[in-house]
Amino acid sequence: MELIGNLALGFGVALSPMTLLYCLIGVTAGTLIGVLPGIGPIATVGMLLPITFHLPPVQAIIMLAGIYYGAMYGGSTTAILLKLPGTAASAVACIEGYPMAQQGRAGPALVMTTLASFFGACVAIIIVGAFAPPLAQFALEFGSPEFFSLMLVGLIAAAVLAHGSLLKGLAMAVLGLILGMVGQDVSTGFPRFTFGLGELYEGVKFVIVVVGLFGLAEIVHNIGLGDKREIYAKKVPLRELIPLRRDLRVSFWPMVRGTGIGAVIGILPGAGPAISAFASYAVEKRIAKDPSEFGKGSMAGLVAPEAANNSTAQTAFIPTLTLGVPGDATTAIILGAMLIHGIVPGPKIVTEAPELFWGLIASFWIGNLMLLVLNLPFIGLWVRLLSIPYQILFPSILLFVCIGVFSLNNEPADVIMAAAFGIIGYVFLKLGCEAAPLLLGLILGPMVEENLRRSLQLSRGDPMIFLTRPISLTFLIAGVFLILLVVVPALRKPRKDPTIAAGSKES
Amino acid sequence: MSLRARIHSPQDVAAGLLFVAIGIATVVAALDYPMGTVRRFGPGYFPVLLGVLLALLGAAVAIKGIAVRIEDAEPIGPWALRPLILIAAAVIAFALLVRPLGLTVATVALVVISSLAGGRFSLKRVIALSVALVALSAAIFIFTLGLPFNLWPALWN
Amino acid sequence: MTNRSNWAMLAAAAVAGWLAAGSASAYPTKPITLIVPFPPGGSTDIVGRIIAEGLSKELGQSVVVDNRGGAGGTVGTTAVAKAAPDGYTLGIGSTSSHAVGPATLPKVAYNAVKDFAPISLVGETPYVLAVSPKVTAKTVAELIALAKSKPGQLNYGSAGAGSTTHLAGAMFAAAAGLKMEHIAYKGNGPATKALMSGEVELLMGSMPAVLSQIKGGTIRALAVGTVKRSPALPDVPTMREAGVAGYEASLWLGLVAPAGVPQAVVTRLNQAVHKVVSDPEVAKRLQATGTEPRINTPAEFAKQVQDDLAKYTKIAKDIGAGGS
Repeated sequence: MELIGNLALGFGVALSPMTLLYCLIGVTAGTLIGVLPGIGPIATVGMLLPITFHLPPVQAIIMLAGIYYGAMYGGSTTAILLKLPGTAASAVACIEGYPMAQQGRAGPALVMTTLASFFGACVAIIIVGAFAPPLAQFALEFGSPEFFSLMLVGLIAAAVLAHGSLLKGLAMAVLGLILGMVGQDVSTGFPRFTFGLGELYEGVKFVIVVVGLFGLAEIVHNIGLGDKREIYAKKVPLRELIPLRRDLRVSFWPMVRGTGIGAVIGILPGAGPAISAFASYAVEKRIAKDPSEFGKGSMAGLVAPEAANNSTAQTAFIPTLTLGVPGDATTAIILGAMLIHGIVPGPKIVTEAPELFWGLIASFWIGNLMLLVLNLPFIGLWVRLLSIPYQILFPSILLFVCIGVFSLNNEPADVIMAAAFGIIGYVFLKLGCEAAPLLLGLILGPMVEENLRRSLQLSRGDPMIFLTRPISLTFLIAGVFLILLVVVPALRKPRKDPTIAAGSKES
Repeated sequence: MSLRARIHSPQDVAAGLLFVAIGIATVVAALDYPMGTVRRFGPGYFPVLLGVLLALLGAAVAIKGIAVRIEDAEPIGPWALRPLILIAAAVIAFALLVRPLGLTVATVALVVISSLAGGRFSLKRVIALSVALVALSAAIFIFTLGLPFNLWPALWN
Repeated sequence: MTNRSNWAMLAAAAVAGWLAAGSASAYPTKPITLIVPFPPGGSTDIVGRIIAEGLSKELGQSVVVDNRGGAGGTVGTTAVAKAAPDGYTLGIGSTSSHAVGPATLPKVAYNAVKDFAPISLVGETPYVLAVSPKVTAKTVAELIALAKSKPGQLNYGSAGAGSTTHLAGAMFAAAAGLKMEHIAYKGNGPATKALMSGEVELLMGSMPAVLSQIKGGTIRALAVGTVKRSPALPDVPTMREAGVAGYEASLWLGLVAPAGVPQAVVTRLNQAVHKVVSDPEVAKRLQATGTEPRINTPAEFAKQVQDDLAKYTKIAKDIGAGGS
């Protein structure tokens, strides 16, 4: 009952015409920058911040938040069509979405990701509205040992990410971990693998790696294919945009699972939407009846991560609003914007600024509805991108990649690094090594190391800290279980292991 | 020649050797870093551990590629060297030119170099594409998003 | 890399030579670039953008923020140091870029004192000594007594090894004669969260990072590091009032130009900054981010940089966080 009253208050705030306008501006800008590779929500929210000085606080926050979750919608578009993820969180969409586009099913892929985004976000908003304060308490229980154990499970899951050879997948994950070590060590400040370059002190940026390994390598590969590429670039008739009933049916449970995983990860400050997308992909692959479908355009593998990253983008507001601790860099800026407007986030925000809290929740819903309405009609247009002659398309993609990467930090060295990763990515492509496990290693590696070292420092060197804390212990048991799942069938019948057999066909 | 005949997956052998090389390079680079103690791992601990692990995994991949017979193993196939070099060159040219000479010059350089990478080179198409892309990116990035790009060389201001 | 910056410098030098012909009284005649050596959205960036907006109005030319993050602010600050000294490239200097960075990082490519023409301070952010709710101490004296009764057992958090908060915490430990374990986190957010959950007992946090939690009652402030009490937390004593002598530290932000800019430009910019920061609207916005508006003369600012560099270099050396 109370919830209904609160929501009525929220919708009262969010439905005023000016608020609606700013919400629309926010989500539209979010979709646009989500589509553009490199330019992410962090930079956009940062640059739009000064404009919001002159707005009423609620409208300012609603607009900035709209950019954040709007970017989650746009990000998968170019990932599916061009194998070029618009944001870090949509890198997973390349794995299943791009093969679907190659099979002429770009339309259904885009429609289903939009629906999955909407679904994930809507469910997560309910969670935020109903359970924000108790969930914030859960986030506080999650200390360094818990983070380590969770991330370790994630790394083990990396092994199942690979759809080809298990060994190669593991090697790529380890390579990702090594890449993640580049930069100043968090625990000691010691610069590693920086070769004296200040640009590398804060590590290799995820977006640069993704854009290079996926986007640029794919362009080189496509040009190398010559006329063969034209096969799937032909015009797509409109009715083929619509998903089949089968698509909807196979998507439902993956979307539910993705939303759940995404919601939990969003609550943990510091994890972020990219991790939730990878995690839910790994889960789908693990529980699928036919894992060999993965990597060739599995609908479950596409929609689950998409629901997960949108769900994360919403629940990330729980720690931001109720603890005053941002979940990631973008929510950190939104937090800054609140402070500038004199709103103090924290446990009391729900009671002290109800019109902001509930107005924001209501605006999330409205914003997501706007995103759905905005995105669906454009899908036909996006799919046309594929019918543009490649001679025109690829220089354009290259330019947008360059501008996007440059604008991360206005740093030419970043663009050169993207080119280097493009070359590396092409080499791996030719050698049949998949990039996905590398990306997961790159995201998780620094967190695993940082939290392990910190935990041992906190326990003054006693490794029992991971076993005596219940949440951490639960994760470790889950990790052992995962290893058994992978190893036991492989031991029983090594020759017929599907993951190894599939390795010969995939490249 | 006899060894070559026994390699079942050249892809795996090459990939495995690459991993071994990267693993060794990692260990060599990280040996200079402090290793620390059990209570306080130093910055060198994990890189060395991971480098060794990567080298071992690489060796396993390579050995499997030599020893384990896989039906219809894929050959590495021809390398698209020309596109690879030209695409990388186009991106690097953009990186080096965009700050001193502005977005326009950098864009034209990128379009010209990348267009050499594949298909038929058409001067007319390159010019039209350059003009369109400069206009489009100026409209989106400079005028709408307000990114701090110079459109023209700094000297012209 | 060297080639590229040579190119840029050549081009910039040409511009500078060309401009030197014009009179400085007409300054500025074209848009000014303000390099913020941190990514968009951080507290330095927010202050930089507030100042850029004010300067644009005051100088009648647009002041464009150029974010060049990396290596604790030293990457962007290197770009300021190497820019043409014509007054058209300015930077936001800070405790990070001009004292802590050079004190803790190996190979910083500039001299924080010699390579810059300081213009004016813009704002000051106090360090706040905050404790976790699990700590019973209500005053600094009680905290010191607690730490002395359990040497080496208390943990102090920071936003990263070699960061401002790390050195500020180490300085407190040194001033109070305490032995504590330093625990590094990746940024202010995680460090603050660790304090709230009790993973670390105390944190010498920057005001904006801890203010909302202090006001929300999830952590407690015991003292501020500034000379005077902070208007944001008027009930919290200074370190000196709390009985810790010799602890005086804060985070400052200021406007700097590359060394060698014409005196007339420095004077003009100093006036402009003073006018901008004195504007009540601007002051209010700065305060909302936890930054107290502060202005001073170029000479005073230069002295402050010099003093802080010496102070942080000493503590970095003492705790072994120094660069080589």
